[in-house]
Amino acid sequence: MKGRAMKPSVPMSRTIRTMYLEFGELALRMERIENALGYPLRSAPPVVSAGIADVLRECEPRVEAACGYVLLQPGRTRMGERSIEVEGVSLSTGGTIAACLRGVDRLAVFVATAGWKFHEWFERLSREPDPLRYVIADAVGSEIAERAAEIVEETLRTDAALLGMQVTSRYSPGYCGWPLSDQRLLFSLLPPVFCGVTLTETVFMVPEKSVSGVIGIGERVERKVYDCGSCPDVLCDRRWKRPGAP
Amino acid sequence: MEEREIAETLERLAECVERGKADASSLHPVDLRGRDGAEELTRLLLEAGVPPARILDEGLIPGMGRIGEKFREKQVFVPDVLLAARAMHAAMNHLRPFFRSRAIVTRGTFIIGTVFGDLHDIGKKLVAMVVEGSGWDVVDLGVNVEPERFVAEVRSRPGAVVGLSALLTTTMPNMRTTVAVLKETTPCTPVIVGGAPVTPEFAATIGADAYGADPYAAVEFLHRVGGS
Repeated sequence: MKGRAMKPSVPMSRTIRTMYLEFGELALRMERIENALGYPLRSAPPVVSAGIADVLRECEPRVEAACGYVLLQPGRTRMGERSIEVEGVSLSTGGTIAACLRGVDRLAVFVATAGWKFHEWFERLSREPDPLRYVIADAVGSEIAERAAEIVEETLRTDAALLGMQVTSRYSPGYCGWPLSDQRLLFSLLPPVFCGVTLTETVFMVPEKSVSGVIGIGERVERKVYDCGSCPDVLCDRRWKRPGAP
Repeated sequence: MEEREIAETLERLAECVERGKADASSLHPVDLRGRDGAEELTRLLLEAGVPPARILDEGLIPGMGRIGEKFREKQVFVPDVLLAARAMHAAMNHLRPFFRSRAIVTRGTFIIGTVFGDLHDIGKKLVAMVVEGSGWDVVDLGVNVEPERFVAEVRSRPGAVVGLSALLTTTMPNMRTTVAVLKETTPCTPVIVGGAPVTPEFAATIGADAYGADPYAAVEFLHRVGGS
């Protein structure tokens, strides 16, 4: 066997991985936050850039970012035209996402969050009379959750590579035609209070700045660039927020 | 102060509101640093005997209107609108006593809130600020507001217009319930709905009187149904 790489065997049970992230690990970038507030590159007024810098400084001790994934059991994933069934749970992802997940062998459900301390601070900001700091903190919190989601995706990619597999992009309920109400089904596939995140009755994630979704894993899958043009959901808020989006 | 000077000062006031120059100490915008802002110009106009209603109608409201047009055309973004609202508020601190003495009459009352089950606040807050900047008295009930609370507020403010916000598809049914309760208990109350997942079709289906894609659509609706 010398000289020939051995492909590690694929674990047949669920794999769970949780990570707690230092603020510095998030490597937040000013231009992404400015962009989330609507500004094209280097066009935010100095007062807004200074406001972002202030919020970042102030929120640093309050960020307890966490992320993780549950790699669901193999061999129990069934693909439909507009849905995917995993471990007996049928997710109505819609045609756009189902097409992107075609060919996956396993599905990972992930969660990423800015944490409770940030949530409580953000809630206090909402009661301040001048909402500019609140709006900036909203963009910063979303970016923290988004970065944590990127980190969980990168980690899963590395872990999957060890098994000789690739990963897809990440997809979340509420986007690309996947009903937000499916969030409850998604969370039923996770351990309780995974990464500290729970759902309200109206499937609102708390802490507020949290992201959840699925990532596919397989030998023949690929990471596709997010393409609003291929999605029929013309009213999606992400479509309009993305500069240059159709 | 002569009429020409008054007109020029009102125009400067409108520019201060549009560009978010709250007062002389404001560092924003950079090119207006060191100059008087909305706060000083409003005080100057009042001292010159300009009627407060004229300051509102020819200085503040046009300033908010212009930033609104730019926002709709995506030339400016939410923080710019909030900076404009901040400047508007700096001026309003001088005008508030005249509202109390009825020297200025608001266009009407707008009651706004995010429907029950939904905790999203920012879009609703933005609408509230823009509507207030357009000369309306605004009652912001906050988030997660039960239908009965809207009804109670409408009953205590006859003639008020209601705005409902929802940001989740899962709370849109609660918007439907709220509209139904309002239409059943206070059928003459105009109701406008908005929020990321809400569409004009959905608004029509649930019996709302209008759909607002942005805060300025709400202002247009308000002026249509109840504005002076």
